[in-house]
Amino acid sequence: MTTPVLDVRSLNTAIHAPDGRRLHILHDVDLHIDAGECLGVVGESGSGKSVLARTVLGVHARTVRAESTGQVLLNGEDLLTAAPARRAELLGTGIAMVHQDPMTSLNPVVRIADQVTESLTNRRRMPRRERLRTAAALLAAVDVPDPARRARGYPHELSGGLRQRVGIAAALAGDPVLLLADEPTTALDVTVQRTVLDLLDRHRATRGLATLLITHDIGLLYGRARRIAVMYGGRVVETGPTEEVTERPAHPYTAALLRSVPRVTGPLRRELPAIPGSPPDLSRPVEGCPFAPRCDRAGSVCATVAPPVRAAGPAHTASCHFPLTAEAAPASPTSLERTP
Amino acid sequence: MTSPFLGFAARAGRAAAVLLLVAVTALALPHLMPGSPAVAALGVTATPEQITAFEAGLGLDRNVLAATFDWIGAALHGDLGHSLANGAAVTTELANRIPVTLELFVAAQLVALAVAVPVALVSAWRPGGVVDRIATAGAFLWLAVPGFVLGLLLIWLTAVQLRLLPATGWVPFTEDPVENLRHLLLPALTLGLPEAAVFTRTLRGQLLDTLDQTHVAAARSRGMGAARLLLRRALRPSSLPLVTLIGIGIGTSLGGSVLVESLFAVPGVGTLASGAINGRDFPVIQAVMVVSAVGVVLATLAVDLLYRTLDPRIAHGHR
Repeated sequence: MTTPVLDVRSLNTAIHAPDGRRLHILHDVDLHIDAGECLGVVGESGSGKSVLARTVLGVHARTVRAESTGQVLLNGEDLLTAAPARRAELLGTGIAMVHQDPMTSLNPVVRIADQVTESLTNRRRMPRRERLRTAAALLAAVDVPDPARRARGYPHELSGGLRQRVGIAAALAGDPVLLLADEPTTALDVTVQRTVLDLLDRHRATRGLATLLITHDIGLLYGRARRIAVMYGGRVVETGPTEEVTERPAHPYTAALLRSVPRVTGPLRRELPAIPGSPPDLSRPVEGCPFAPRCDRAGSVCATVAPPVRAAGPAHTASCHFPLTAEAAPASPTSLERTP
Repeated sequence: MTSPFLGFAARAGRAAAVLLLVAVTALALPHLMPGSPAVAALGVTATPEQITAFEAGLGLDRNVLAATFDWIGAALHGDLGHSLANGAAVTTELANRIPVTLELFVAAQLVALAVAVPVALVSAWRPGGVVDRIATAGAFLWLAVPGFVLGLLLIWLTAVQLRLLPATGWVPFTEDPVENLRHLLLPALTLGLPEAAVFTRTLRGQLLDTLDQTHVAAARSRGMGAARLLLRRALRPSSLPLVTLIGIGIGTSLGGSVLVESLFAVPGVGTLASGAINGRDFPVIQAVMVVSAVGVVLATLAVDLLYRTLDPRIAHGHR
């Protein structure tokens, strides 16, 4: 078996917020992505998916200090123990990030060419003509029309969809092996979303890019992500091939998430099932399963004992005491007391 | 959206209105002030005929608006009248004084920026850090101390105690550049350091806002280091309020530099104005008023143009 491009092993991350609180965000996160593979990470706000991306990248918000244990292996090299200089070297050239909102993630007063080529110009001087030429080529690769003219322009001259293409071009400039896309289409029109995702797909396939696609919209991952990791309360609660997880969800949270996706077929007027309650407060430690307070299958054991990772199918695992699929059912379900 | 030409025409119209208003006020001054300028100039022994003739010479016997337009007409031909104190042409006086005040202003701004920009950059990068805390305390101390106290302290320290620099006086740059700079340093520091405090606070706040934006996080994710990030990405979008402050400073520097110019005996517009006010030298007062108004208008225009180069969105009407 080949080494995965990204291999995250029992990653725990705590954030020291500016107000002095210490928040334990990520709990024993395990995931891996092979070259040319897209892993979809899905979860609602506060599930820890953005902190996961920032921890892998190694760049957190300026005002917070993060502390991680475990391993983040990039082609076998542990980034958590790597020297700061080595981490800095990998930014943009080893790992690149596509940001959520293209309206705010581009500097309004810096020419597009200068922003798109940043991953290169941070390492070596590049004459203006070369910057323009390189930027034009990168913009052409992400289907920006009239790339030579756009390279000389500023972000406000572009639409949201084009700006996100510029963001993708900037991420691809350093020829990374791993692309972290943090809700890359959330801020875009639905019609533009598809073309941007198609673009990411194309570059993933042609460059063999390992892609971590973060989203709160599980429906967006059909046919795009080969595998899905469902996050809840800073933990990966279920992971497996996309068809497996979406057709035979083992974790009640995944099932609830799937039920809340609007469907095109079926009756027109119907209430979309929402998950009652809200995600756990990260400043308090959770005993047992973080989803237990909102779960309709929870028993008394769920509040006290952390659920183990169980096999739920081929390459499919879930962390739940009372999983939904037959294969993942505990050996003797009656042995665990279960409240109605 | 208005066309750039219409925008420019409107601005020019507003500027002309401001200048006209200042000119009318300046020309109305002799009427508004108690006592007669003629008596002040000619002395109490002057005959009524002498006074009438003198007032006619100043245009005081006529309607203020008519006098203003005559004055503007003459001014456009390069004639601002003659000083009552020494009979010299006001234009010659101004031509001697304006370069001195301008040099002092530019030097003070350079002092302020040289202190404020590095301090603000380091403070904003590590808010609450050692540099930030020292700079914050220092800035508030500077702001609390009146400028002339600082000037006196500087004179005492560098001129009296250390005998490094001349305490007062002026040597034109064309005469002796080195001596010119030696005479320039103390007044420039006295004017510039309190401004540095204001600049630092303003720029620091603006930088903190900019550094919190997603595009800064994006640049960091592409491996941009702190120095490059601050100088090449954060400083420019944060500098707009600073440009405004400097622009306003051109106008107020005249007022501020009256004090500093007097303290250091610098022969600039400030000392000219204070001398003219004391001697009721109306032609000089009027000229100084209008000329400084022209300065403010030009500075505002320059700030506008600079805004457009600093932030391309403004030029496109996006903000």
